[in-house]
Amino acid sequence: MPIKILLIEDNPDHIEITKRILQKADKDYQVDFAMDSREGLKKIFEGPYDAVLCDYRLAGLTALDILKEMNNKNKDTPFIVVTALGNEKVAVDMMKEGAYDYIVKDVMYNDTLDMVIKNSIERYSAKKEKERLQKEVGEAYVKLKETQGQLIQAEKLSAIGQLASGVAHEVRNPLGIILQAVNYLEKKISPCGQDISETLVMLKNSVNRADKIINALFDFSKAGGMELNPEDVNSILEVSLSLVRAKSKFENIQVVMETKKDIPMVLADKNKLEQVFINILLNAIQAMPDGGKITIRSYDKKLEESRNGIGRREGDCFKTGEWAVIVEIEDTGIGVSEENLKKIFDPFFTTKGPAGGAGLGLSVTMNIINMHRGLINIESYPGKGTKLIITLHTVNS
Amino acid sequence: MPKKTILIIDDEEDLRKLLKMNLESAGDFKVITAANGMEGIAWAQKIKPDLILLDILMPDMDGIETLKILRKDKDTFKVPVIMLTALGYAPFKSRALELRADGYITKPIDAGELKTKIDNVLKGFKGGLENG
Repeated sequence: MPIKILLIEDNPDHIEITKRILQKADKDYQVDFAMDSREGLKKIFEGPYDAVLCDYRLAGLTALDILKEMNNKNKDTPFIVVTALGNEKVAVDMMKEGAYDYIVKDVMYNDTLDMVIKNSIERYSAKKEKERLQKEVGEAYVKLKETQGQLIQAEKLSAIGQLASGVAHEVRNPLGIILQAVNYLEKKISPCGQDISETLVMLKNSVNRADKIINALFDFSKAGGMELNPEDVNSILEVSLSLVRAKSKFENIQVVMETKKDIPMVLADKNKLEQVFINILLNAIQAMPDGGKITIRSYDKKLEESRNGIGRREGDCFKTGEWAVIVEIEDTGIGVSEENLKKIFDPFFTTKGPAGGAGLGLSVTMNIINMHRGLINIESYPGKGTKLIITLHTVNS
Repeated sequence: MPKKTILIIDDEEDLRKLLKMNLESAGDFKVITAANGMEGIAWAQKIKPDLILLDILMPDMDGIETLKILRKDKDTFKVPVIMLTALGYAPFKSRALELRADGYITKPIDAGELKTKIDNVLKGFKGGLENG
């Protein structure tokens, strides 16, 4: 393997001498040279060289200037300063700036040059290897944290699944008794005063509320049972919107559809994806008590940028360069604070108060998207609105 | 018209009592109750009810097991059975369907909905395995 050296030296005799020394020491040396600092700097950046041997005293820029310029531009090449006898202090200063080593032009020059260069190259390789390992350790740590997070999430889900069955049985039986008792009282004390009938309605409503929470728990823990088919995401969006329109008031809410025609089919469980869109739309409506605008977008896109869930790592849902279908649902509502944003997909997290729900809507949503090996992201600015972005696999991928 | 006889098999005592009170006060039914599968089968063989409300999750013998025995018995195999359950659990539903259950209601049960369901089943209209 050739060892490519750049020699920056303005004295032609010294160039010749150094070349000879090196070629005598090792036939692998290939010596290129620059006779002034500017040319030297240019060659360094054109590189690559295994090492740069630079005379300290140059016309124009000094070796220190060259080194600083390399540092500014993050150019790391083993840099060795050649100084005259008695100039060691300068050399030490250069070492502080990042020079790999220095060598004094004295009687030892001939014998030590080869060793000095090779030591520097070795140190450079060791440094690079250390950096590579540090990077690998860093990546492994991130991966470990991610896996740990997923494991915790999976454990939570499985625990909630078991809980859901237990809770359903233990709670629905007493709820059944309460409801039957209310039904009985309704009949027995009718006609009754308004306060009594209102109380009975409250009892019934509370039973229904508790029952809805149990249903939500069930939805949340249902992991299996996916029925994947090629589906048109636009028609699922339209059906979901009409279902939400039937259920909720759309007072002062404008809906803008920006769906792309002839979008590729996605591989999805239609009912589950409907549930996802309904959950998000209901959240959007609740976030806009005084009205606002919901924008629904769909488009296909080549995923160029590697980020969480997209890349070439094991466990990434999408590969960079892959085509995917993106659905965005954006509202102009109250938004979510940065602090709450971190917890928004957590089971049982809610800001809506006891009457608002069990805090499972978005965690069910995320669960379903995970089951599709898709991605869900949220962007939100308090006072401005919230955007949910869902990335799904096309049938072809 | 003679009152129809309904057999309720459920391990929850209060629920048995209230279901009986509500159905009987609706006027058209005479209700017998049993606290477990074995007792329920014995009553069913004895009185040959017009309809059975059968809870699924019970200790010792669950509702699915009870239904299996009811369907094998010459005296009870034709009696319509509506399953009661606290779990909206799909495998139970399909198992109940295989055993020719006539209906499936998830608790908590509203008295009005239950009455409609019972009337439909008694009229021979099988409302499938959905609630109501």
